[in-house]
Amino acid sequence: MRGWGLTLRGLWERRTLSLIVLVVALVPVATASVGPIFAESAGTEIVRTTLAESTPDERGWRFTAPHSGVPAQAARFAAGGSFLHPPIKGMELLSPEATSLTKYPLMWQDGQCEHVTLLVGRCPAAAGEIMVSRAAGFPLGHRVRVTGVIERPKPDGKSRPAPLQVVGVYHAPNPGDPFWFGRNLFAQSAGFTEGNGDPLFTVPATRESTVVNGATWTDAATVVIDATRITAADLPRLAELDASAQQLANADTETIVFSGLAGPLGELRSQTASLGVPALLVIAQLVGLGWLLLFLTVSDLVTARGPEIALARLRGHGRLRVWRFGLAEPLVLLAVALPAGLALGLALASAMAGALLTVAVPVTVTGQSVLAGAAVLLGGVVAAGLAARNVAVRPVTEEWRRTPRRTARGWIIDAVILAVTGLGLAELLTTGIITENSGQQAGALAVPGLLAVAAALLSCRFLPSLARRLFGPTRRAGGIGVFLALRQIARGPATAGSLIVLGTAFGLATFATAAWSVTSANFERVARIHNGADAVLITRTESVADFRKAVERADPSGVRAAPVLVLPGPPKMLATDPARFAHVANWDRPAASLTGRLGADVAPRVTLTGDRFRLRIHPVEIPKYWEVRMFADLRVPGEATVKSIPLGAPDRAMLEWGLPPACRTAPCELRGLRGDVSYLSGADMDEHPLLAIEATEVATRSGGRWRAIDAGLTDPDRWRGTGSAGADGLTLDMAAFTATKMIPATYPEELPALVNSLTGNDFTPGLDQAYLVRQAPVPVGPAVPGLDVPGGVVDLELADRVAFAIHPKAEFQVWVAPGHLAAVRDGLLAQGLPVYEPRLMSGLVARYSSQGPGLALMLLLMAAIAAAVLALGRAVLALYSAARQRGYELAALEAAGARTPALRSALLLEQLIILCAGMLAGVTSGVVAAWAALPRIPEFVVPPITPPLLYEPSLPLLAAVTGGALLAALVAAAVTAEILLRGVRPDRLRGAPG
Amino acid sequence: MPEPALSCHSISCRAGGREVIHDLTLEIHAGERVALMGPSGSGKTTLLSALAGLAPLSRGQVKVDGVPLGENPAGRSRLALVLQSYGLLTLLTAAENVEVALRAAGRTPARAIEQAAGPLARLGLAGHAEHLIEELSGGQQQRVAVARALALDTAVLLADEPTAEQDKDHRELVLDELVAAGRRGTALVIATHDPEVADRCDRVVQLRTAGQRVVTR
Amino acid sequence: MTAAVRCDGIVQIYRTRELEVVALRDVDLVIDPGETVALLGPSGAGKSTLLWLMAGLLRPSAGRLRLNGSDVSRLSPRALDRMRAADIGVVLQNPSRNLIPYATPAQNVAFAQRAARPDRRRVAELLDRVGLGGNRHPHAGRMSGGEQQRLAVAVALANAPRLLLADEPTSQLDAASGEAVIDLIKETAVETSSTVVVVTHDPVVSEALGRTITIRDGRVGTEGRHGEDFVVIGREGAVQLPPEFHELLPPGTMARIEPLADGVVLRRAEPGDDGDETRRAGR
Repeated sequence: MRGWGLTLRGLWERRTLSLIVLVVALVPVATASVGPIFAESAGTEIVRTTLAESTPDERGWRFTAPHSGVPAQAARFAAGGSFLHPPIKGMELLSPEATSLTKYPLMWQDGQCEHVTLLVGRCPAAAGEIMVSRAAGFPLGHRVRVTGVIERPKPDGKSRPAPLQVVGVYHAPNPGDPFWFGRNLFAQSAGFTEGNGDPLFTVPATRESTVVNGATWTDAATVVIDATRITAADLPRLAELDASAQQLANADTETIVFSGLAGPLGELRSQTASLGVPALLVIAQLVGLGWLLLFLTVSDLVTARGPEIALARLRGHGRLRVWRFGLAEPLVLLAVALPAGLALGLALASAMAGALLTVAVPVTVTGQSVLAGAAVLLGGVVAAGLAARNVAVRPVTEEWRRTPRRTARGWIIDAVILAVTGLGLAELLTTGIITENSGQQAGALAVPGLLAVAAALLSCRFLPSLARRLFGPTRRAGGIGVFLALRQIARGPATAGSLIVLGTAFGLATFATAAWSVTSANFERVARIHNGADAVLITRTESVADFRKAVERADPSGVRAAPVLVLPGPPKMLATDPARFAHVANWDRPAASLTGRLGADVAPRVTLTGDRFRLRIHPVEIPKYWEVRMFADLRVPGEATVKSIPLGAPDRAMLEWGLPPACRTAPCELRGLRGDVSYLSGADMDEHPLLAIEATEVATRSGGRWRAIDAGLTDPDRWRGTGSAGADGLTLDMAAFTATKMIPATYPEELPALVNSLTGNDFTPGLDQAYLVRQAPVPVGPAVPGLDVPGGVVDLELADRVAFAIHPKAEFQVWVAPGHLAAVRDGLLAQGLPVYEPRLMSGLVARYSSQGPGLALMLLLMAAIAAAVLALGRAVLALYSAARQRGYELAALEAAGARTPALRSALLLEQLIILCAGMLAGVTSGVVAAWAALPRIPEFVVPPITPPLLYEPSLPLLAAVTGGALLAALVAAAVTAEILLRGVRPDRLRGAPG
Repeated sequence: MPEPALSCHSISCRAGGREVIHDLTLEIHAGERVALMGPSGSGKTTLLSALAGLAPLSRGQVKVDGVPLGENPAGRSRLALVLQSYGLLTLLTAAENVEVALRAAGRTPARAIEQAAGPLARLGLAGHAEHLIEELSGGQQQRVAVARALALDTAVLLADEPTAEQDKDHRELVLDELVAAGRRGTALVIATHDPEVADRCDRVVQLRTAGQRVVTR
Repeated sequence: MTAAVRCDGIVQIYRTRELEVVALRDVDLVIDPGETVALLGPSGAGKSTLLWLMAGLLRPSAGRLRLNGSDVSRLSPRALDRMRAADIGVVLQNPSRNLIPYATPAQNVAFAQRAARPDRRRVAELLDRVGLGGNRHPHAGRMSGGEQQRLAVAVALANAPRLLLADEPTSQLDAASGEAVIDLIKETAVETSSTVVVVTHDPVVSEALGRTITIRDGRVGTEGRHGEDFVVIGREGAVQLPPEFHELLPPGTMARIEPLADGVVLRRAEPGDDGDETRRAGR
């Protein structure tokens, strides 16, 4: 089209201004689009790592049914998502082996040969062939018979178990292989003899060639999520699929669906709720600033075309044509800026992803990012429209006036903005942290931006009036430099725009810097406490003693690693070695003194080994109608709770009973002697006799011989309870309806615990989550390393004495001091212990930075700094252009006798004062906004209960920012003044201006 | 015979690619009023620029009080200019424009205020002295430029069409003031096409496109 | 025959920040189609304001302006635009203001054409007519002042307007170029029988055109036709005496009116005379 040639030519003609508009449009579009793009990628990273870290059964679904419709169902199901692997088909039949009666699964799973290691022989290929594990013990060539499958009936009517020929022997594979979906198929190889045998792998043809007998074939299909292809955007689909899997199971009563996906799914949903309302609002202010910049710059472009637009009107072009002509150039630039800005945003997001994310994820332009970019450009379109309207509507003859008339800036907009700012500030100061649900307090979150604009507007009014006040003094005294500068500031057209843009941009930039410094300090603080130590390794041992030994061997020095058993409670309990804990945990202050308070004087344990237990007492006469029973409480390895053995009535001298079988090989512990009394019918309720039972000796029999145990029955410090220990032995006082119990004082009555002041004298869960004993709180302040919820830290040894077992939910953590992770990890692995992925404090910090609020604030910082640079550039440019037009006037002044230093000081002062005023207004508003808004802007997806967050921005950083800004202003003003001065030459006076 | 206030000998000046002034000689003494006349394009403005030292000469030099203009930057301080586009600072008031010129020329601020008031008042701008230049009409702006040149009270005053935008009454005012300046000893060179202006001058120099011819009165 | 331009009591006032300026007061004027008129007068007299009114860029504060019979103040802005596009060509004083500096001459002429598609033949024709034919010039911004102004005339003529308005078209040109431009305007007026109104302060220009109207202090002062100057009797009988007669009849003096068959004679009244005196011969 012919028009385009002229438009492009015009853009080239004004190429400096066009380039500026392009840059000013591009940068906000890029920064607005980075947010959604990066959030999507970070979300994908979270999804992929969470799935990778979860167990195989949490990563998919296993459909089983006794009929053959399952594979088809599963195939349809798997087609529902591109991130799903095709279903793995399988079939299984469980039946006892003919001779040993051990149940063996006869199974086939598509691809089984690739997932086991063949030791001898080959994979089964024909019907009737099987592959067995080494632990099963069937030699190659042996014929195995299971009762579940029989041969096809022969003419003679007899049915015999089908012979299955062993053609291969395999070594048990890694049960963590997702192929097995986390099923515990190879227990036999692991040494467990009481369950099923290892699978006998066969081919589907075997099913056709045999007949079932008292068992059924179960068809199965496993659909696993491909963790390398799933993205954050797939999560809703994943949730849908999970729901439909349940529905499938509900609809068909025979189909069963196994899946552990619900766990990770819930966790993922909360973690990838990326940019919530508060975060978006923080970013919206950035978009607003981009609007402002774009508005002013595009207005300049349109105004620069004023003469041409006037020409169009002079030539009688219709309204529409004039508008089109006027808007063509800016719209072309804006149209180019959108894809260019998106491309730049994509590049930025890729760089961020490379730097911050731990796995490679795709970085793509999302719909949201396009919308964000377009929203920014809308400001430019509006600006173009308004400026074009101004030019198109005012009388054409204005264009040719010698000195164009200026209109004073209205005060209505200022008043509105100031009012809204005041309201927002008031609202903000009266609320607590603003959460997702408080969308209605959204206005308060716009306070940083509003404050910046308000401060800028105020400075717009204030600076000129201050300059005007100085008119008198400068008229009567001083040099002409300051005389001219003040008048230019008070009356000049470039003052207002520059101040607004600078004030707003620097206000937001200061706020963003303060916010980032506060937030990253809080992330560090919270990560320190929530992770507990620099790195945390997860392992597992059988007993506490093994645990301590393992850590001891991995770190003999005692200052690099600490064993920590974590019980969820609530309240959460950390049981650890206090000395090591003091060195390794992230304490803010020296912890050595604290750990001393976790110990207690305790009696030695009473260990029993053997097959029988005996208690020697002084027999007592049992009152009539009383039934008295005595018990001994034991801690038995392998038992989850207390094991009591009955000792009978105390009317004999020797009370004995057999010890549990485990006590023959492993030491059991005597944890208490007790008795209870109950009335038989006919007893006299009014009589309350007391019984005192004296125990004098505890003995165990092992290998046929009785041996007395040193139970400290005569030592009062070693027993406590309803009775006493004395020279005569242990006395248990018994009364009706009260149970009597004496326990060895191997642990204190209340367990000393370092608490984070959110818990008090609660029952501590104990290593067995049995809540047996209260904690004696030792308050150490609001933050205790390792505790993200209310809880306490106790001595591991004491906790072990209190508990009867280690609960499955207990987590065996090894905390490692900085710099020693690899060494400790290797030390643990060398002992044959399983060691899972370490949890790093730095990883937590990175995680916080990538989630919604942290991400929003980081983006705000990046973009606000970019905007501040742009604003400075634009302000300098505006001042430069305004001053250049005065070149003619300044030349006249020079011709009248002004010397260069005076002119230089005029230009320099003018620029410097405006730039500094704008920046100072911005910095001030930014600091105020930080003080008011930061405590209320959420920094975490889930606000941490502990430790308390601090909101003091780093003063050195703020000072550096302010100083840097002022320095930039100084340099910019000096350079611009010099360039302008070069243009002031007397021979310019020859020509007419403009 | 004292040195002429302003003189040029056989100067030539190029403008717009051709030689506008060719071999021109002119001597103006203190108190003399000289009108430069000629059709548009004959070089009035160029000659004035050359005399002001603003246009480079291809031949010859301009002397102020006998001292060549180019060598002595202080020489230009003996000239006051009224240009065709005035050269006023649009964001200053009329009084401020005059004052800043005076201060640039070396007066103290107090003297500047004092010396600015007179010319402005005499040119009928007393009521507009505190108005911004951009608020004044073209004619008023022109008078401010004239007031500025007058206030500087220099040895030479060069004016390019100083009455072009004035209506009848104000034309008289301006001319009266210029003549008064001449009586005080300032040498005046006024480029004009208005015969009334020429009438008030001592000498008229007619410029033709080919060369120059001097017509004395 | 409808007048090309008819002004009845035009008054134009505009406001600056503090003042009201009366640019035109009671201007009555009739210009017939085909006439070539020069508007003379000192700066600030209101010539340019009158030209803008004729171009439809301003609306008169009072009075009526009719262009080819249509009352300008009754027309909507769109109608004014259309009229300007079809019937009026304007040449501004500053040559570069008439043109888009980065466009070629042909593009500039095409820009002024009404239709969306440029009529290339006409463009070439016009450029030839003004002496700029042949694609020699890259961009309008690089042409000399005289060439630019000639191109401006071509642009103004792009739509074959009935009324050609020019605001001091030669003031920024040297004598030769100025002459060429004026000749061009005259020729075109003759060829296309359009009406030409040129604002100027250059007597040379006014001599080249048929009729001269002098505007002084917002009023029509004198007119010249074919070299002869006439005084125009204004509304309510106001007469403006040209300056050259001010010596004979100084402003402020009283004068007696003596009627003649075809007009009046004005004689100075001596101070002290009373009104009953009989006629005296003038000196």
